Amino acid sequence: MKKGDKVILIVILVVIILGFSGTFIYKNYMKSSDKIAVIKQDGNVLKRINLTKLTSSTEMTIKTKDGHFNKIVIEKDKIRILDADCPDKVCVKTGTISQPGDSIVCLPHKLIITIEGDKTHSEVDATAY
Amino acid sequence: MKKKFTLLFTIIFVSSILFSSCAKKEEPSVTKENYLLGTIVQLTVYGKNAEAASNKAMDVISDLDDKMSPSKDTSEVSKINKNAGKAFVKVSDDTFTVIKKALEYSSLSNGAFDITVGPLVNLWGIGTDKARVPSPQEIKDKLSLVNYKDVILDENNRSVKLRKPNEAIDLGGIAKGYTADRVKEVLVNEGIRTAFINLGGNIVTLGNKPDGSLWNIGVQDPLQTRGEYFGIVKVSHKSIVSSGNYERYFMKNGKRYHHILDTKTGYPSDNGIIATTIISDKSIDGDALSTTAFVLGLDKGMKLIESLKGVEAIFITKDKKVYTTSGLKDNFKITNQEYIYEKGR
Repeated sequence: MKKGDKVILIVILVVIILGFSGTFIYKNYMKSSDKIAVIKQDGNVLKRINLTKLTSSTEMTIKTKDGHFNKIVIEKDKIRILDADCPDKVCVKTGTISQPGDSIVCLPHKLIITIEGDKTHSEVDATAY
Repeated sequence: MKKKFTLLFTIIFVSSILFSSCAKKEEPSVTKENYLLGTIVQLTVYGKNAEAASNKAMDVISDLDDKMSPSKDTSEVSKINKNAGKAFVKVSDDTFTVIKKALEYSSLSNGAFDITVGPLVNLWGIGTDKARVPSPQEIKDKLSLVNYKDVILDENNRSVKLRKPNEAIDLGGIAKGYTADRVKEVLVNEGIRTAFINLGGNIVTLGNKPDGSLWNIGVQDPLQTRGEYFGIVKVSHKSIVSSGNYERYFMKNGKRYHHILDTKTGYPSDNGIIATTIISDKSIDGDALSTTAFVLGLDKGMKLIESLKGVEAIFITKDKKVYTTSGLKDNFKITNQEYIYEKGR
């Protein structure tokens, strides 16, 4: 083997290793682990909030077309519905959610809050209830 | 020599790219979400035809909702109720099939499962803004209207009639299951082999996960908020349906009044069971049986489920004890250690 061959060999090997490790690192570590709260009403995304980057807590009230409301409290890493004028109050009773995959649902107002984020820690595809 | 090396590494280089893309190649998937059947409906469908198939499936759900919803004035169920004690109402094959199946479960459970529970459901109003604890007299009055034997079927004309005025059927304990089965059927007919159907917590899986492994389905922890599970079942091609006192309820003087009514007493079922989960092939069976088992209680419920082929169940009692049917041991595990696994009885 000539010197030139060795150089080419090493260069190619380095490229291959770099390529693989780059993909590996990207897939496993670089994915944002930020928790994003998504507030949807009747299928439309109203707001996306990065809970991880939040520094202060906020309150917001979401109104339905016919004048009903859900009052939402957003804090660092967590979100909940504080109050609502729906009949069953399931959304308020659900309490605070903080994990990717968690959701709060207010059926009467067609409101869903879900937390998106890295779900690799989740053991389940869904929960039957 | 030089050429050989170049060739060799070209092959390695090219194949590494090919393999890495091949291994991670995923089938296209579509996720759809909608508000139907009084709940959130979510479909995740994999395959080339996913978009068209999921749209068709959503249309079917919407159509069945229109036929069987008790709150829609024009539904077939509403028509049957309005004509109680008066006339037969011609219904679709779908509604007829569901009512017929419901009556089978009524007789199998000796009335523990009873779709004529409508008047009681309306009286309690659980899950509505009119929820209240009725007087014993009111309950007694409405109980006299609960009797599955008063549902008269005319097989030839696909017609249904309730014997007495003011009687009313409510398909809430079975319609979602039937709908899930129909969705699966539609997807299969569209050539879909992998799908995940979630009709407000009633889950049906089609095939294995896209990577070939089994689906991991959490089972609701009845003492935690929705979505928190206490155990996991591994399945492929199954229906998983839970019933529990956590689904819809209201509190009055520190007591919880939930929506699963005992048709013998007229009050929310109170026999020590706080949640049941049924794993079955057909979701219509799972839906009806989860309610049935909840009302029957541990001993009778377990006996009934064990007598049925291909149906498995998980019962949770007030004191956090978990009982399962014998066929479930290998693919169920408890993840919340507060729960004690009392082996299959």
